[in-house]
Amino acid sequence: MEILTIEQVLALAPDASSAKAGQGLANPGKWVALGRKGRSVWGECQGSGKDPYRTQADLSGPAFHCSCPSRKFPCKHGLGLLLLLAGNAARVPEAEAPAWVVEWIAKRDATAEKQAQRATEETTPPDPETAAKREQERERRSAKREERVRAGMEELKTWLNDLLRQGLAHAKQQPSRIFDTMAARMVDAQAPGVARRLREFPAIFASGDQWAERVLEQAGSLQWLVHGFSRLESLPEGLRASVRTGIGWTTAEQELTDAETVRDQWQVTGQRVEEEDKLRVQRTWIAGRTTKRAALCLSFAAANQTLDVSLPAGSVVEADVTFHPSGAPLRAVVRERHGEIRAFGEPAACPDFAECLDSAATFFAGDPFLERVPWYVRDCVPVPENNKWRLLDKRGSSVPISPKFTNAWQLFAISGGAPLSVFGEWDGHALLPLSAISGDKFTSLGGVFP
Amino acid sequence: MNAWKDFVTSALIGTEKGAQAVLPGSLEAIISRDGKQDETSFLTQAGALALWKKAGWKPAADTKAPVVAEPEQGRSVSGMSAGHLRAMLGGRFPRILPEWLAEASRLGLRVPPELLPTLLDRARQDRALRAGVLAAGGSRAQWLSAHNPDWVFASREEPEMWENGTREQRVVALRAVRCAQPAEARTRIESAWKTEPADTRAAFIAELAANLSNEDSNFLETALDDKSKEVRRAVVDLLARLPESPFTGRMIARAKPMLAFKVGGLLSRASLDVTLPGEPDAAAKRDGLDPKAFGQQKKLGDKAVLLVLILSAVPLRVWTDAFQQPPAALVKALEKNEFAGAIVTGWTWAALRQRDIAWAEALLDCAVPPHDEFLPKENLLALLPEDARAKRLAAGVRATGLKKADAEAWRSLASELDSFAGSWPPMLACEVLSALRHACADGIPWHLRANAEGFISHLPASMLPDALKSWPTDKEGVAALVEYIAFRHESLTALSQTQ
Repeated sequence: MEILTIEQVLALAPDASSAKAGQGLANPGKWVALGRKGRSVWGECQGSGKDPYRTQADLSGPAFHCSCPSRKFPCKHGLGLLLLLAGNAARVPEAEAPAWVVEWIAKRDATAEKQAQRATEETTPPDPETAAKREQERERRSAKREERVRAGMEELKTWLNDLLRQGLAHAKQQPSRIFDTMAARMVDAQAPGVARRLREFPAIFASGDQWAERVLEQAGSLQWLVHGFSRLESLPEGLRASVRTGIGWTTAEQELTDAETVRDQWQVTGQRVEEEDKLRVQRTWIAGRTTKRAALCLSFAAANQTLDVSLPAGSVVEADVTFHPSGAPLRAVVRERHGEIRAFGEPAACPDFAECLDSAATFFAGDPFLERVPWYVRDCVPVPENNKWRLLDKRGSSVPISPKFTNAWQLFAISGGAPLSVFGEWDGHALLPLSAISGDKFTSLGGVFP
Repeated sequence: MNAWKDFVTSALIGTEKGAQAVLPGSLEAIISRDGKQDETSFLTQAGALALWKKAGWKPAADTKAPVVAEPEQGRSVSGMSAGHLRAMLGGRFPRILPEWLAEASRLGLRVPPELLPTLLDRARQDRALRAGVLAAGGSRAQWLSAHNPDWVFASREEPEMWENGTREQRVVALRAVRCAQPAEARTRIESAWKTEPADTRAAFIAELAANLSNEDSNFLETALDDKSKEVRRAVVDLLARLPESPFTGRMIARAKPMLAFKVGGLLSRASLDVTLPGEPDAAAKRDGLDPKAFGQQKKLGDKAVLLVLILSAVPLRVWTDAFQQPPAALVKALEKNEFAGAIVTGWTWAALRQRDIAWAEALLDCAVPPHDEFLPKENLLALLPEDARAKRLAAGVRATGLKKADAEAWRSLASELDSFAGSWPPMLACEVLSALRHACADGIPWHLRANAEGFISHLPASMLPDALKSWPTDKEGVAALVEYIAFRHESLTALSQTQ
């Protein structure tokens, strides 16, 4: 069973204080009855309670379970356990699993099985009558939503026209409330994708140099959503899906049965968590070793919910990955895994920026509403330039590094001025690096350094 | 692309003010179907243009590649050690960091480059870390720091601060000059003397303590006439360390008539007779002999104060030569004297100034304690070689048994133990450790909270496995202390393991 590195385990921590507390527990003295067997690791940790907490992890996930009352996930005990294992595997001896470990693993397997079963059940309804009823209900609901969205799009069109008529300079003087109000109306119109873009406006207006260009670009993109929706039926299937996604239709996982599924060794190339309207959104980028396909897995969590921890940056997992339909499919879900997580190898990467930009153009052409596309390039160097950063490829081309990137000095230090491989997100204007490989060492750059 | 610029300008102004933009010909054919000129078609065209631009984005070609860092000499620390370093930088037992860095560089290891920015930031704030970060950071740290003005301290050249720096920066610059060219530093002070305010003059004078020699004596002698009391006090302190200065000669002349040694006989012990000095004349006042030198206090009379000041400025060998007695005999002889406290204080001060080991030993054995509150915050123990110091401290710990509740005894032990830069000699470490274990039998006493980690930091690394044992870990605060020992042990030993 592949053991995660210390860095990968720390990347799973929900926040900095958990990471620190977890490191405090990465000490055999804190534990009794440590052990591991196959994919299971377990130990008992004396906390403030009377009985020690029973902590365990399933390395194949990784997944955690702990009897402590913490609402954080994974909790410090789970992190401590895996850090202990990562630091020195010999301190966690091979042993026979106690009953509480066997039970949990069995329960996990049973749940997974049940889920798979439910998925098949939902696709094949019990009898034609129920199926027809269900289908009817679904159609009724979706027709109602279409109607609401249609009205919403009309409203949006008028709003955009007003914006343009009065001019962007005028709009810049307005309080950000007017965008929030419009966003709220779009939520009511069941177009959350549009609402999210509207909420971004105040930040774009305030983004400094060339803000007007960015505002116009965003407004133009919204106009194309309106336009696309008005002639949805005439669009090719992929683009139709992209327009619907852009407006805010989501596809439930079980509805993806006919969707394109790709089996490959998927390398987890980078991860980043951002706050979006009181929601934490985690973007995990994976790349297929054989198919060279890139995919984006999203995980959402409200205040005390937890983000998915099953795809640590810098690891590889063989799995079936299903893509959401789109003109340029990227968003995907990991369906079935085959085998365990392993360490990263040399991934497929473009030799220079020209090729990266070609691939970006293909993505944007397929789905004009994509906000970011993956970017993986070999042999490039970060360069500090007038308090900003650029990335330079071996042909002498350079692209700006996003001002949102807070680990530029770290990336620069890793390079030592010599070429390295960088993975990141390209938004059409700047690159946000998420990881780097120098020599054979993978470094995740999506999180926060101490 | 001019068309895009036109669109942006029009959008800024607003279409109601009449601004219109035109698509480039290549896009005209694709998008502009109906020729309508309303806001919707404007936005549709602008959106298409933006996407067109985005898809055809061109990289710049005028960025220069940075200089490549020198290849690293050592190999990198293991993944486990990198984890330890991350933990310390994240706030876990940061006290161990300097020692850990020193050990890493001793083993020729390099820290992972991605942690260098954080390390350099810490070293900028904390001077004590600088040498360690630079050593364990290798050529990569040198290279990196050259690119960030915040980290200039790490590049080899310190900028010249003497001319236009702040007072602190000028003092630092002066200190550096004093190390390399002592005379040059003195010349600089002399040239700045007339124009600088009193506190600056006092700060500069204090820097002459390093590499002090008879060459400084002429300048210091003139500085005795300075207007500022603070400056004069600093000058006297320096002159008293120069046995051949005219100042010291005057002090010896004043001191000699004051002490007389009487050899003991069959029935009487040897003793010292004291003659107190008279009222200070103008010359004595110029030499800093002020009965109120110690401020308002009731421990010493005016004349006793003068006695202390005079004795503190007289070379101690004057007494061993004059009475033909070793320091221990002279110290012993004064114990019954009425002015013993004043004399011991004066001699202790003199021993500290002259860094006299033999006298330090004798005074440490003296039954009469000096008046510490009138003395500089140095310790006679610190004058002794490590072995002798350790032996004395160990004996002290063993003899007094260090009661758990005796906060004062622990505090003074802590300050004495701090005179060791690195780890303690094993014999002393054993004594302290067993006293500490004993004191923690019911949890760490409150007065030890602040010092316990410090004690552990001074244990020799080889003792740590044993130091981990026999603690009452269920008692309050003890588990955290043991964890500290364990972390120090693990993080140091992990460095010498390759994987």
